[in-house]
Amino acid sequence: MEIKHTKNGQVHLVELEGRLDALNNAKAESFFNQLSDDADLNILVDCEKLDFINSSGLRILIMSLKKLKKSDKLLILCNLQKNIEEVFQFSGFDNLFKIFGSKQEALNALS
Amino acid sequence: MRNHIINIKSRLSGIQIMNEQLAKMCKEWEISKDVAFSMNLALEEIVTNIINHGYNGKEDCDITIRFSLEARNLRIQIKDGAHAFNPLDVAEPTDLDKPLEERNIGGLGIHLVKKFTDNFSYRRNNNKNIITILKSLEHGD
Repeated sequence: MEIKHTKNGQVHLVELEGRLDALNNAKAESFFNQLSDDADLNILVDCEKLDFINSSGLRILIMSLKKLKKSDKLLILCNLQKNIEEVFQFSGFDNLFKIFGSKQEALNALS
Repeated sequence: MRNHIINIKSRLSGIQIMNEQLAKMCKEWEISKDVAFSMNLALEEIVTNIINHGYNGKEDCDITIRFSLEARNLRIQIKDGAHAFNPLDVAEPTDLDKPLEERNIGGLGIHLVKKFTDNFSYRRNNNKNIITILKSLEHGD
């Protein structure tokens, strides 16, 4: 999996590419841990190129969300592929994360 | 009916081999992207569960996966030699609509298997755990 991280104005923009699953956990977990420990800005995760997620991937995102909440910061998501969106819905995670159809909508919501 | 059997070891590289074989087979058997995704998700959750809870993280144990392409279904049977463990006994999460502070992540993997497959069953036979998942090929495009 590829993780591309840029600071876009007032937000950490994180683009995930490939698979967020058992095989890629370690890398993604340490990345999101560090970013949410810093908790200096909100995090926008762009999932346009994310092809796969399983429960261990969801766990990483929820841990990050919980940490950020303590500092009044958000982790929001955009551009989920249909199958990934279903994983969020079936887990009830669509109630916990703000999910937007496009990057622009997500950025507007944060500004 | 077409069949394909793979044997993997109970470690991360085993999961990688499984994913590669599944992708290759779905292509050869012209399985839709949606069905392939569902089966990949279900398989990863089940095999991770076997490795972590059945084999308690021991890396050299065997897991056999048999793929069968039937007229209307893709059937996958996963067999392991760990102690008797029925994943269907894992309690369903009851907090799916609860707020963040009250959410617990346990049991989520098995819940997703149930949601993404059309049938999910377990039996114990000859000291083996045998899990069978079934997905209709008539889903999606």
